[in-house]
Amino acid sequence: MSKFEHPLKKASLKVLEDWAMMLVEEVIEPGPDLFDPNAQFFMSSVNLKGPISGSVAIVAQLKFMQVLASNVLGQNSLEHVSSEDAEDAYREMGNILAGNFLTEAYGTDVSFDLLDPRVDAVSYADFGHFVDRNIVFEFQADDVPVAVSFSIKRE
Amino acid sequence: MAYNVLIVDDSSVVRKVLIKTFGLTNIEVSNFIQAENGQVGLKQLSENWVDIIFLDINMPVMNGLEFIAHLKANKDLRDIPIVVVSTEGSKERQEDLMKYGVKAYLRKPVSPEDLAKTIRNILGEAKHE
Repeated sequence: MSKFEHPLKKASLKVLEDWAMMLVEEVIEPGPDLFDPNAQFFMSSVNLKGPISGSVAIVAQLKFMQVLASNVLGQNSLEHVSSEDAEDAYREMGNILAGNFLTEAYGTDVSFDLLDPRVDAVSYADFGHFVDRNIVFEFQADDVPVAVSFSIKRE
Repeated sequence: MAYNVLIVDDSSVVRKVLIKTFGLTNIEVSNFIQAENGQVGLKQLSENWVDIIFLDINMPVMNGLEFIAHLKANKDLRDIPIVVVSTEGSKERQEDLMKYGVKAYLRKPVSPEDLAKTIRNILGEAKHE
């Protein structure tokens, strides 16, 4: 097992359960089957620069982003979640996940720069490439699928 | 009178979540003032009295370090305590920020317990009038 798998999984569960307040189950075999084939995929990503370079990314669909924003903002209904808040919460989740992952993987004695947090629309094919990256975990969070990934940049 | 709190972060969700976290403590806040970057934060400080500042570092227009430098150069603002709220958690970064005069450093996600403890350590028990 890669030394990054356990930290990524632990950080993902912490962020989804503690920050996003979701009920989380791990999906044993990551893939597109649990996602809605007719809905857009969105990727929240953060680049890491330090002793190694890489990126942490999350892939999910709009429903996850709305549930995420609704939970962290304490709103009772998805109808009250604006698209701006959904995207903002999703971007911030990438940031928090990246920071917590690095702490799990390296402790507090190593510094990293977290760069370029962003949210991009991605295609179904892109999701396939995403799953083919080094490390991927997929979860059902409040019965909505979400996948997280860490990849090392090859120089 | 309860505290006036300035929150400087480019994410409106982060600002809202921090306000929500305050609500889960017994720290009384009379006014939350928000700013999406350091420049707006300085403008808010020119118009509002603030007891404590919660500050993000990575922001467009004016980042957290630039904001701190402006604050420390202003004799009317330099003693306002600053708490950095960040996702990055290395000891080196925290120590660097303390050298800039930051009073405390909180990792995201911020728990109500850590928030309350930080406020009490810096400002003492909640004020009431």
